[in-house]
Amino acid sequence: MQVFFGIAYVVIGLVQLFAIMDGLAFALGINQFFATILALFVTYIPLVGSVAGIYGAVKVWDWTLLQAGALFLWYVPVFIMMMIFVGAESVFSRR
Amino acid sequence: MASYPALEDWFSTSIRRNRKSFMLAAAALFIVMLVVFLIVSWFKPSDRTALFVFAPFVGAYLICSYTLTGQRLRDMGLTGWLALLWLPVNIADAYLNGAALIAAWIVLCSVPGTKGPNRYGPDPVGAEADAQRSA
Repeated sequence: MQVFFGIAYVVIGLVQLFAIMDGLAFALGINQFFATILALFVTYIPLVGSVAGIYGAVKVWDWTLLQAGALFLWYVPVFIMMMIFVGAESVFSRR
Repeated sequence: MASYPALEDWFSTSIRRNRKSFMLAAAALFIVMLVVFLIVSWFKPSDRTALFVFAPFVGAYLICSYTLTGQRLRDMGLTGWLALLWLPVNIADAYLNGAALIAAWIVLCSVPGTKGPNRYGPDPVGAEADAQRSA
């Protein structure tokens, strides 16, 4: 099962990279080569990469904000769910 | 009686998997692919993009379907290589493929594994198997 999560992580990462490349080229007016180099640095900065990906996907690819947010910020609801789960587990383990 | 964890060791070519674990693993695999399909469909990608996104998942799915079948076959005391029988079945015409698929599923989901250890490993069901997994 973990293999499928790994594949999903890599695929989403690549889509995010392409979205950031197009977003940077669109916003800064630079050519694709420099946008690619910049995107490689930006992609793996948490939150910054996601926000830049959302910008590129919405502005250049015409995705809805919901679609872009769901794809690039998927870890936020997962993190919240995990925190709730861990919190609930610690509460119940004390009783 | 405990059974082998359904979400673990999908790609293993050495373990034995009991019926319940096999059915749950196959169901989970189907759900994973369904979720991927629904998410990709939501974005309405071009054919090429959809292929690019789907290809790694389909590759993993195909390998996994062979290894899960092999694990079940080993539990029955048969060699896992028999899972490769899917190859000619998958390239056969739709009717033959469908009939073979149903027959194989009935066999894989109904024939019990050998009791106790066999030459492919320990029994995946029971207290002894639990103790070995937790060790």
